[in-house]
Formats: sequence, structure tokens, C-alpha cells
Amino acid sequence: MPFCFGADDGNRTRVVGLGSRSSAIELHLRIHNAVSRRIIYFISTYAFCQYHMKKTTVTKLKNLPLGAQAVITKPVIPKYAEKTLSSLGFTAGAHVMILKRAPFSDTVIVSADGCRVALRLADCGETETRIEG
Amino acid sequence: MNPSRVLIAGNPNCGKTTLFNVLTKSREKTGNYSGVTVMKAEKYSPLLGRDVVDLPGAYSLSSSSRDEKEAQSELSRSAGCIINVMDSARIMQSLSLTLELEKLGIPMIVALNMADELEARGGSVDAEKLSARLGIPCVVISAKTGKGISALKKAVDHARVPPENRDLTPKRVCEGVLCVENGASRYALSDRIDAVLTHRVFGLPVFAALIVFAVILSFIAASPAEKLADAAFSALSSRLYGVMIRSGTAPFLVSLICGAVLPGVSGIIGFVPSLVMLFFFFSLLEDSGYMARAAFMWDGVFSRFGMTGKAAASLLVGLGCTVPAIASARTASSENERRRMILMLPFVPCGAKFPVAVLVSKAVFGRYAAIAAGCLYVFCILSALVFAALTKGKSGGAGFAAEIPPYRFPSVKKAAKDAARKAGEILKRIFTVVFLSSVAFWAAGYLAPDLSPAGSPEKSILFSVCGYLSVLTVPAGFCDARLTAALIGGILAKENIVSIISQLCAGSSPFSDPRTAVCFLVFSMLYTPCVSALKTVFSEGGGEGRRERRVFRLLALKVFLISNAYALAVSGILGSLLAVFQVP
Repeated sequence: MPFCFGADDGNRTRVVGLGSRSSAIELHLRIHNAVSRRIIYFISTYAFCQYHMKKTTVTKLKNLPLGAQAVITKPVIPKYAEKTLSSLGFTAGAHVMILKRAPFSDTVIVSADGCRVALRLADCGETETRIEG
Repeated sequence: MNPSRVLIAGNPNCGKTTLFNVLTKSREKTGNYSGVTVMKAEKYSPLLGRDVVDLPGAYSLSSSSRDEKEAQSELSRSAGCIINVMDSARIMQSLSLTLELEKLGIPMIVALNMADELEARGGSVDAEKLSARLGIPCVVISAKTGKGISALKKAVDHARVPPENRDLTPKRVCEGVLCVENGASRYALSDRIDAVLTHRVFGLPVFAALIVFAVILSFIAASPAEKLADAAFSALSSRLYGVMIRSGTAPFLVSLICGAVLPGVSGIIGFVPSLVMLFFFFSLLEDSGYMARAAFMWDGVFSRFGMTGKAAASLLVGLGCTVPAIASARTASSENERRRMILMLPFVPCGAKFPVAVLVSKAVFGRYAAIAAGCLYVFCILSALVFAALTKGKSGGAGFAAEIPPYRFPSVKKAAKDAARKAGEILKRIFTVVFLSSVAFWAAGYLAPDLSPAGSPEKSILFSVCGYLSVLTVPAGFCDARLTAALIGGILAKENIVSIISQLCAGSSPFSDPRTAVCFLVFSMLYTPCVSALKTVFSEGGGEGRRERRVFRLLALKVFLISNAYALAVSGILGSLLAVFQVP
């Protein structure tokens, strides 16, 4: 029986929908509502959770798990890389997927509409995406 | 300026320089990563009958990096035609620049490059459809194989100004133009290779292993080549000496040829094969697409020092030669980052310092020479990073965004050609700068201050001057007129260090004890870069405003002062530590 609590926030869905139990405990701190936070902490720590994500789930690029396909809904790019990244297909409507993470950093290789771009999540992680499928 | 000249413009890493080389029969450097071309190149093309200009790659006409600005400024001047080069596999991404170029009102054509790679994946591109939509001629070419170049020539002759007032978007233009039937991703092979080479855990060790492998291979190559050159030049020298004595040649000429020029040239020429091997290996890396991955993997480490992965790529180039490494700093995303990269790069030991490392570490460490030299290289690179961190200031670190191209099988033929070209450059420097320096240092060692023959070296101009100057190196842990002379020669060209040591210390060890040798080795690896590198820093502000020019002139002075002060401090501290631990 899928467990659903009407999550509309990317972090909340990730907490129980994806990632490991430890990452769920770590991520629950990002939820502002104290009650929700306690519930999610409880679920992810003690409960056997079979939460299934909805068909489309909004999340930020920095929370997108490795290998999950998504579509950019609102790109957030720093000025220095604006032209480079938009020319390389990192624009609204582009299909993105995080492919690799660099050692010791938040630098990732993202596939954006077939192009491969290396970027830092600290700079572009706030980009809003919609997870597909 | 020639108004009929042809400008080659396009996104980075789409094959502009390869096309330029084909059109002008040049051998400009190419590589499979963004930012290989950082300065424009101009040459007459016998094929087109016009001057052709190769511009640095740009994603748009309003970018901030120095190399892209150079392309923008060149495009704003008059030109006869623009060849907009596109990677056939990513037309959509290239079109935003194309649409900006169309607004310049200059006759233009589109060259759809790398068509052979697209065809190999079962894809095709409809050039006619694209041509109709853009209103300019479009030709399918492969600059690598030469396919479609004659069609390109015809298209250049019929280039026309793009129609105005159209509401085009890349998506609308691109629709139905590119077709990849079997759907094979151009990254299919790259993904399999990247599973190992850019692995989060194994990626960095694999990178380190590759570099160590290259250095050890060069070290191994150095030994027999050095012995061969030594034997050949010794035989030549003794035979020439006999002939000259028998024919009654003037003693000063015998001394010049057999005592200066031959030992000087032979001292460095034995290292050419190892340097060529090092350049061959780096050329393979640059051609494969690994450099962009190296930048990605090292970005995390470099970000701790306020730099980006782009600095890692420049650093790798700097292991070959500091001059192109300084030029590659133009790819930095901000002027602040660029200046910091320029300040950092002279700490990276260039290929010309490699013979010093080999010579001195072999003399001191024997069979552990390769390990000692490797540790020294790591120390120099760490020094560069620490210095980068110290100059970070309040502005914080720089940003990083780069394209990761698919791997391409590196051409051994091209790498061999690149290495041969480098060998030619080194030999040219040996027979010009090193040769002239040998003659100049011989003259200074042969003549006394009153310009009469000195008789013994101690009474010569060289020993008088360098004797005084060697006081400056006392804090560094050594005080020897011959070593000081070698260091002065090294400012002209780093190859001079080994050459002058061979010339002045023929048959005897230049080092009184291992401690002196270690201090000299560390100092020579870290002290001021050569004149060419300083000149490059000095002229990097060219084309900018007056203030910028002044900034870069000051930067050259800073590089000179800081590197010398740092070299003095490090070798001095090391010398003191060795003295404390009673190392002889």
C-alpha cells in the first residue's frame, strides 16, 4: 500500500521516495514545518515505507538523484555561465540527468538534451526540475 | 586590415582550427576540449585565395571570458565572409550563435563539420533544409578527412548576407534537419570509458597513474639518449680538437668550440627524446577528450584553493610549457581568476626544467631519482595551489561550467607530428638561444675584466660577476659562481641551466655536497620563469585599456619577484633543515 501524505515539495518526496535511509534523515532537516519534519523523521527511521513518487515530481537540481531523468522548468544560472550553459542546452524544457559527481565536491556532469555539461550545484543547484516517469 | 578576409567562427570544440589548418596548410594546435584556441590566428589560404582568420570559440557575442571577447572584437570589424562552423551532431546548440552572427550583416556560410562521425552513427543532416531556413549556403564537411572542402570553397565564393527581420529560434530552425536513425548516442562509448576514468573513487588515482606513467617513461627514455648524446659529442669533440690543433687553429677558437659550444649543446640535446615523449603523451591526452574530464575531476580539489577545474587543464599544459599555459588562462570566467591563474602557473615546472630535475636528482638520489623528482613536482604543484589560495581574497572562488565532449580515438600520427613540431622548437631554441648563450658565457669565462685572456676561470669576467651575484643565493643554501651563472642563463631559457652546467663543470661535479645539490634543485625549479613566459604575462594586457595594460605589466613584475622570493625561502628552509639533521 503506497504511503502518501500529499507531498508537494521536492525535498519531502525525496526524503521518503528516493535515496538511502541516512540521506532521508539528513534531508528531513530541510523541511520547514516542524510537525511534517517529525513525521518524516519517524517514517524514514522506523517505518517500512513504500512511498511511490507521483508521475511528475518537482524538485531542485541539487536534490535530483543520480541517473533520474527530469525536465528543467526554471533554470537558475549564475551570470558568468549564463551564455555557456544556455548555449549547451541547459534551458527550460531541456531533458536533464545527473550522470557523474566529481570527488570532493558538488561538481556534476549533467546531460542536457544530449549535451554533457560540467557544472557546480552550488551555482546551478537551485534550478527547478520536474522528474519524469 | 584586409576587408576580404574570411573569419572562421563557431562554438568551442567544433573543429574550427582543424578547418583553418586544412584551408591554410598550417599546423595550429588542435585538441578535443574547449579552449584550445585562445588567440586568433591569421594566414593566407591558397585554396580560398584570401586571408583566413581562426577565432577562439564562443557561445555567444556577449560572453565575458577573454578568449570569447577576442572573437567578438574581431567579428565587429569588417570581413569578407564568415564561415560559421558547427558540429553536425549538435546543430541545435550551435544555432544560437549562428542567429547572432546573422545579425552582423556580413556575408556568411555554415559549415556542418564532423559529418563523418555523424554518418558513422547512422545519422544525417539535411543541409538544404537548413540553408533554406537560414537563408545562407550550408555545406556538409569533415575537416579531419578533407571531405566537402571543395564545396566549401564554392560556398565561400557565393556567400551572401543573411536576410533581415526574421523571427527565428534555434528550435524552429533545427526541426527536421538532424536525423539519427538508430538513435545511438554519441556518448555511448564515452560512458563506458568514463565508468573507470571519471569514477568518483578511482578517477583521481587513475589520473595520477597516467601522469606518473608519462614521467617515468620520459625518465627511462632520458638515460640512454643522454648517454648516446654524451658519447657522440665526446667523440666529435675529441676528433675536432685533434683536427683543430693539427691545423694550427687559434687557441681561443678551439676553446670556444670544444670547451663551450659542444659541451653546452650536448648537455641539453640528450634530453630532447624524453621531452618529445612527454609532449607526445600530452598530445594524446589532449586529443582524446580527457582534458575536459580532468578539469571536471579536479574542480573539487581546486575549488578548495579558490580556483576551478579550468586551472587544472592549464596546469597540465604548464607541465609542457609555461607560455601556452599562461595564454590558456584566457578561458577563465573572470579577470580576477585569470590573473590568479597567471600568478600560479609559473610555479608549475615546465618541460624545460625536466632536464635539471633528471640531472640533479640522478646525481644525488641515484636509483631513487625518479621518486625524488616526482615528489619535487608534486611540491611545486602544491606550491602553486597554496599560492592560489593565498590570493583568493574577499572575492572568493571562481565559477565553473564546461562542456564535456565525447571521447575520440587520439590520432597517433597527429600526436607524433605535434611531438616532432615540439622537438623542432626545442632544437631551434638549442641552436639559437642555448648556442648564443654558450658563446656569451664562454666569452665571459675566457676574458678577464680588462678584456685580455683570463688564463684561469677564476680571473674571468664571468666568475667576477657571478661571484658577486652568488651572494644573493646564500640564503638559498648554495654559493657557487658556476651555479649562479647557470641560473642567470636559465632566465633566458630554462634549457640553459643544464647546458651551462655542462659547459662550466666539464668533467667535474658542480655540487660540493648533496645538500647544495638539493638546494640548487629546489631553487631552480621554483625561481623566476623564463623571459618568454614573463613577456607573455607582460603582453597579456595588450588590446585592453590602458589600465589593464598597466595591471599586466605589474603582474609580470609580481611573478618575477614572488617566484624568486619563494624559491629563496623554500630552498633556504630546506637547506637549514638538512643542516639540522646533519645531512652532508
